[in-house]
Amino acid sequence: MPLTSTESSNQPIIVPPSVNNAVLNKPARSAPVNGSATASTTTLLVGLDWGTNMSCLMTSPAGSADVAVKEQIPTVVGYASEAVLDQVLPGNSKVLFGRDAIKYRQNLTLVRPLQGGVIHDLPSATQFAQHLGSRLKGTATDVRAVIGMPASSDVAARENARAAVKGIFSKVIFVPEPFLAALGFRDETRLSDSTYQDPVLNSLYIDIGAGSTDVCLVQGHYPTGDDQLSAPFAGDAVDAIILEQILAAYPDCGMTLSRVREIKEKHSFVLGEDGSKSAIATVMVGGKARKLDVTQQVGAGCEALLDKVFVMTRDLIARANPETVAELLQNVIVTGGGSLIKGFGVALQTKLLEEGFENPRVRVLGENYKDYVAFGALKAARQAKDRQWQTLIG
Amino acid sequence: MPALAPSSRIALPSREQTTQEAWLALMRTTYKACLLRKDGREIEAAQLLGGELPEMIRKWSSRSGLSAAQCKDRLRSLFARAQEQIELSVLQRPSLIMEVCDRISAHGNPGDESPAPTGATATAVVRSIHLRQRIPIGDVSEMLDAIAEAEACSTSFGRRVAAPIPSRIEASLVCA
Repeated sequence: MPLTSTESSNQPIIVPPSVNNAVLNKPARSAPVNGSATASTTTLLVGLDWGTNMSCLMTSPAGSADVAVKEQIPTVVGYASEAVLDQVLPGNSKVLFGRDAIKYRQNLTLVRPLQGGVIHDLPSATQFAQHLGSRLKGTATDVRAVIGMPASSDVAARENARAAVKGIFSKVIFVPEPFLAALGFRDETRLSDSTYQDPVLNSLYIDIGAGSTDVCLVQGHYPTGDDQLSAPFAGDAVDAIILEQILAAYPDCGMTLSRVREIKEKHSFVLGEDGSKSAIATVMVGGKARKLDVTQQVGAGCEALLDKVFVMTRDLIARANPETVAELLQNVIVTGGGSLIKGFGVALQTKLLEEGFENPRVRVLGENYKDYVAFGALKAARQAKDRQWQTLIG
Repeated sequence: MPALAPSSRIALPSREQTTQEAWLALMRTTYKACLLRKDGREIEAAQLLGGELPEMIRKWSSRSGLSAAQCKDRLRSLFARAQEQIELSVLQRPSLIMEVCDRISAHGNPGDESPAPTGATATAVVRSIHLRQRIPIGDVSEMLDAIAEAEACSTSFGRRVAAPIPSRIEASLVCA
């Protein structure tokens, strides 16, 4: 895995895997799926990371090594207010998705179809899935998707996801996201390279999403139940803490969760030096703009997450074979939206060191973390046998 | 600035914690009672159902913040689940009761669940998919087979059946 420091902070960043080198936007071509489809069938394979806040879609014609479409779309649906005037929304649309929905949010009611990584609102999830379907290029008659699901998702979550994508994809497979992250993160083309450190041989993955934090051991095999820890404490919980503390300090500021989310994305930090630059949020109070210093509140929310992640990491390391721990500590990998918190990797590394772990090394995946799950899903789609696909009828 | 220490943010507030503990105790006793009945130990089962359980239900329901109807729904679901799982002989060893209860409770306290999903199928119990055997990362096909197997297992495990709440227990709800 090529490692570079691409930003000025002390946060170690990993360069995205070979997916970024894939040839994009090549024309789709017809090919059989794992030797089963007929020659007349045009099959498109889809890898989908359907996240609470952001979804990542990758497609590839069956039989091709190319990635035809790679797109990140905010997982949000906006419904036009009845009072909205003509020509305000693009195409006079009644429903907007993703960045358009966020852009025109003043005139829309925004709905987030997912909570905690699973569908919470089926009608909007179905419409969002239809929007995803509209982003698929080409005229494939058979569209098959491998979809990432949170490690802790249940039967109902998968049933809802099936219902939402019915009519968009003809066949699906649901795979736990940690599996796909491991698969997507591995660069098979470099396995024969003696300098390449295979990230799935002995690593600990920390995925900090919106609704849950998942920590899992990947030691050459897909994680079993004993290799994983999951807690319903992640980005949303951080938002709630920040909001509560801001409202406690500034009761009349009219702060909302969506505004907190924006502030967090811009100012989140866990190390004192990263927080030395004040987080100043502008809010409207009684029609007047007011600047608030929310540095302490943002820091408190992020610190709470760091503490939670540290405890989970420590507990999972304790489950690992002692003989593997030294190498495991060299490969602690943080992914998910939480990995974007400034200083998170270094702070976690420091806490592990303070706890007495020898020479730990924590790496963060940075902005492109979504790509890994989607790319892993696409890899799984390419290797799935025909009998392994679940047909969606109706 | 009324800032709370980060560590205090992670711990559950005491009310939630005690509600969760009360629910866990209730679950364990329910499973235990069902297991005893399955083993034909009716007297011991009756002692739990008629003696300990009503008090536990009173304690939990008074702390849960739920209406009596919601409490009944949750209890019905719990009894249905416990009976079904015991009948399916999934829980043949008493030591597994604790494990199952802990796994279920780890995914949320019924007293603090988020609002019901819109149009989406909701279940009170989370049955995650976990692989039972170790499969090499390179063997995607075997991984997919194992997931399908685990999903099939969790789906059959998750079938819902309507089960009546024992009358003595229902009565304890009225008193709660």
